Amino acid sequence: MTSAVVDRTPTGRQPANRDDRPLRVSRWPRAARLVIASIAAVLSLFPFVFMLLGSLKTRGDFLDHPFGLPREITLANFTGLFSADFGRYFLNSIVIAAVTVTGTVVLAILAAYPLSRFRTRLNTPMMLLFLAGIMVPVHVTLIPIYVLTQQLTMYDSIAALFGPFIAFNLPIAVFVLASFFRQIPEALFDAAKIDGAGHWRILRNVVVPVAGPAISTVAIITFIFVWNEFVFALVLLSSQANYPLPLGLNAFYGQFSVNIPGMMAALTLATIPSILFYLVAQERVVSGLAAGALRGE
Amino acid sequence: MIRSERLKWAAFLAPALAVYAVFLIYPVVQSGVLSFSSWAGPGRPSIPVGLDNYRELFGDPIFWRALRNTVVLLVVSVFVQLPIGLGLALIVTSARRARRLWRGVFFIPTLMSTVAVAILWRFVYSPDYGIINGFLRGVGLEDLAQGWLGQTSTALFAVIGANVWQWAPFYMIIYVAALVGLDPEVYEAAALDGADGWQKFWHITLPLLRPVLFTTAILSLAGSIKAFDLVYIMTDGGPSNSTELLATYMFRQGFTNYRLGYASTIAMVMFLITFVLTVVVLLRSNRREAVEKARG
Repeated sequence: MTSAVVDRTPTGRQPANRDDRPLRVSRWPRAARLVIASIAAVLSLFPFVFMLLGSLKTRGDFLDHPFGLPREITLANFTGLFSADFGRYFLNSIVIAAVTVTGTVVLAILAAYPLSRFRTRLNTPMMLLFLAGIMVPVHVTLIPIYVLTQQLTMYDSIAALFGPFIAFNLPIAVFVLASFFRQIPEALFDAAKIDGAGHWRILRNVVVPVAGPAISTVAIITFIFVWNEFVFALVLLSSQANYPLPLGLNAFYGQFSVNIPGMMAALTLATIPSILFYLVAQERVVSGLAAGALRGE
Repeated sequence: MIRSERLKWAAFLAPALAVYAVFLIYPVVQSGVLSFSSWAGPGRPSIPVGLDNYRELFGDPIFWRALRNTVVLLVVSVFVQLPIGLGLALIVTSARRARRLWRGVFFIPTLMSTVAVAILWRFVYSPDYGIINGFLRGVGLEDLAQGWLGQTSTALFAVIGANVWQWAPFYMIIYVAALVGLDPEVYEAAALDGADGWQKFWHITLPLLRPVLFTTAILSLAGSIKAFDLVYIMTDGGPSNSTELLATYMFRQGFTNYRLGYASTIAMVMFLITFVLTVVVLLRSNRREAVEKARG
């Protein structure tokens, strides 16, 4: 239900002041609304614009005019990053994101299938168990996971992040996929059942091929979470060579506090992937984020 | 369900459930166990201390400070951040053109990494190069320019401001999805009755959004109890604990002071608060719906 509602392009409600309305409501609300919208846009964007402009300035230019447009545009801040460890952080983040997004999607598909297509009373408590995970503060699991990672001798390795990242993304992923699987028309299953296909074949040949939208939704929201995650990485990693981007940026911030344009370039590069994903697949991102909140209603 | 089917059901669920159990369920239980012990980390003995940690916690002024600050954050999140999110959503849905553009522009803060947001807002608040002080000096209000994050009187609200900036657009996205799903016929009927924009908002939009308002309230209070990254990077709880939150205090006790038992006690308090608040809000929303159903 959710994805159907969310996927529709915004057409829903009419603006309040329609031309056939009686007097009273004058034209000014439209102008007022535009002014409010523009102020909100400026407030939303000014730190972001400050970051973009700063990343294109030379250090002297920044110190003279922290707020103005760059006098001459330089890309040296970006090229300089890769002589620092930035490339390494970026690579670590990509590896972590690739493994955890794949892991979350595969495990969530396997779990959502029985929860949506089997008829058993156990489904409701199982679903509630997964949904309860959305409410668990990360900090409640931090110390036990830190201890567990040490016991498994995985401390200070990228692999230490895979388990916690997948576990914390499973609840929403299972929920989104299960609600999608439930809406798949019965007719699609009947043919496969007549052929005597087992669950495994039904999942592979019927469910997964039509579930593309839901799967990409899950993949994108998992990616955004994993790409920006900070606290598990802070606790489970210690050497800089293993840092993902958020930790790397934090380390940069300590070392590069004099080189503000360099810092801004790092922040810009770290932000670009999430924004690109949003631009490429906005409806998927939106439906994914909304899915958790609009559930059942 | 026949037994072989039940086995297959379990087999499909097993991998996800295993990861979930090891990295989410077990740690929550283990935190509960650790909260009754005194432990300085792996390799050291863990000493059972009964309720001592809880007793110490309730007499710990920094804990109360952290709790108070967390409550302030929570109240601002629910009563300021959510209305801002709803306001942004109304701007987006009532735009005649380029709704996606407006939505994208407003959504950028949530898409940014929290670390990037925290570092950027340190620049915003910086005494010398800060955007805010630059603005104040530019309009002739030099006297108001100050070190926003460096003094106890302003640091908490400065940090909360950055948090609202980052997360209000997240709730906007949810509200936009909900608003777009509302039935336009209801509004047409109201327009025929001569309702103006404000009346429509108050008597139609808000009641229809009520279920979503409750869920976002739950998400927002859960979010404020686990808030950490932004404060950790911007102020690390300082100056003199004025921005200390439950999560930053738990982290300090656990990973700076290596008091894993005591830190687990703080974590359990966070867990219990989230749990109780969620149940309260859920019960409230269910009761309201029940009352309305009874009324017809």
